[in-house]
Amino acid sequence: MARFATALCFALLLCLPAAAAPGGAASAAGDPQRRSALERKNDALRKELELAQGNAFYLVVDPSARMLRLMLKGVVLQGYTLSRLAVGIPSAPLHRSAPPDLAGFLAADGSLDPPRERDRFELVVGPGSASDSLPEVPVPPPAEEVYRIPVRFWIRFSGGVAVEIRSRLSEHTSFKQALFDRIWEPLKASFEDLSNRDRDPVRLLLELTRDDAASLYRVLPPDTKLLILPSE
Amino acid sequence: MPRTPRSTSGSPALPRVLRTLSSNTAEREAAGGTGVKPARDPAREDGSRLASARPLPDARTLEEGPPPEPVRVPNVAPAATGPRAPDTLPKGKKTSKRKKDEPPADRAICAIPDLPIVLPPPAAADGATRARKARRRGRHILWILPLGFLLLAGVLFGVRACGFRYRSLADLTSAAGAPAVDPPRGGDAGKGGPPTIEKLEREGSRLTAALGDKVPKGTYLVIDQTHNRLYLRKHKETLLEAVCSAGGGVVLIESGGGNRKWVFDTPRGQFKVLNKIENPVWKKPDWAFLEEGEPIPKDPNERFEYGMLGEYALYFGNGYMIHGTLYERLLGRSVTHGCIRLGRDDLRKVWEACPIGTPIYIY
Repeated sequence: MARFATALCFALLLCLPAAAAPGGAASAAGDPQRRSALERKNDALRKELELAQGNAFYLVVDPSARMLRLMLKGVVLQGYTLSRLAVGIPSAPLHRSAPPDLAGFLAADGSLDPPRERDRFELVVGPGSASDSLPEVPVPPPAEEVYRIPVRFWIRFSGGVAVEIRSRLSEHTSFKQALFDRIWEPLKASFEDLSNRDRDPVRLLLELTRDDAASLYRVLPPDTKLLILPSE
Repeated sequence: MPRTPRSTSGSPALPRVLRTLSSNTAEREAAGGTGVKPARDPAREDGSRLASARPLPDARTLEEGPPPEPVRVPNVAPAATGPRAPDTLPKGKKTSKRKKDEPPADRAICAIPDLPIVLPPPAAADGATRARKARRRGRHILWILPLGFLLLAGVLFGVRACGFRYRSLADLTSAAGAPAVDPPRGGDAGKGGPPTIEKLEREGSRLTAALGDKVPKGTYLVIDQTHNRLYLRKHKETLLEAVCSAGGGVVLIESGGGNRKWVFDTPRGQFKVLNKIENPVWKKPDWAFLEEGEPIPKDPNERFEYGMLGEYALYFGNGYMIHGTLYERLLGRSVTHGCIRLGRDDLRKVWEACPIGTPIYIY
């Protein structure tokens, strides 16, 4: 524990000059800074146009608008407001690695983890089956009751990038549920992070309301792509 | 309630005090209840036991009757000459509190002649022992709780420190947060200099316009087949939100010679309204007969069914349609064979708002 505390203090000390630097650099850079911003924006627009011309569904993370959009062919199918956007990399107490530049980042083959499980009703019938001997197809429950939605889940993309979706507590959450979500879930998440360190070299953390997170979990089409726009 | 004394040798039960006075081990036990620890007594080891020489009271007298008479302990040798009393004391002695002006117990035994020791009834002794143990346990808990909390906090801190380090995405994706200025891209790179800001802005406008062209100019339909919702939109405005029914995902397998299989899912992707039909007639496919356990007719005229699809149908390819239903109570549930069912009023609005060619986005 003493080592960890020392490492934390050391990391904080290292972060101080890094946190102070960008402001000064921005004022000094002037036009190159603006050129760089425009280039990054155009690069992201080019990628977005490319996605809009394809047939795949894609997610667009817009840090400026704090929005996550599910899109197809340039049309927003569903938009989710994000309460938190963060990039996580496995922490090394004594090794400070630079976080990746994610502006214009593009990833493919997104799939849900844990996967959505759907029970399909199978009906086997023959040409001569009597109508009264056929099993009755049950009326399925509404979508909200079909899937059990985890409090946090991942959309894993090829190349080792994962988007972690976390649910934010709604105002109507019961005290017991709130206690569970605020204490047990973060604890569980921390232990899970330990085992996922090698699995996710880069992790994008997005926090949504519980309803939005559940909706995204239910509707996300398979093989979705991901684009991260630069912030302004 | 005092416990009934039992003899381990199988003899009739002896009073505890009697057993206490007849053996050294038991004596120590009884004396422990008084708060005065028995010191090793050389005189007693010689066999000159005053206490045991006295007539013993009845067990009932001790347990339930008036307080017992004091039992005198014989004079003991000074601490310097005899074996040192504290060496033989139990550890608990050091923590027991003494009353004011009372000499230490070991000295008291040594210095005061004929020190009267009152042997309390066994029940009282047990109660005092239990109380002392409880106090000791309470003291342990006072230490264990904060220590446990500190340990837990340390483990959690370690786990979090070894997990993931998070930074705001807005910082990392802004130009200021970028690690370095990207090298020039595009055609201007070959001309030697980086593109001017005006050129970059023009290119940005062109790309933005191209992206904007992707969004339909007129009305379009967006269907969320998971939540069974249909949205009629124009640009970014939603003109209508309707409850619909999408494919139930049932798998129908034909047994026997056919071995055909149907999966009743609604397709995902972009489609267009290809045809609009008023008062549509349903031409029942083979699976509809199989599903109902009816034989597949050879006469095509036997396949037509009237009124099943409601007043209107918007055909969008591969046999899929947006149509009405006779079973409006099932709207909102995924029960169809892949088509989109709408209620009567909503279907009419969609029919009026969507001409042929209207884009449909299903996810």
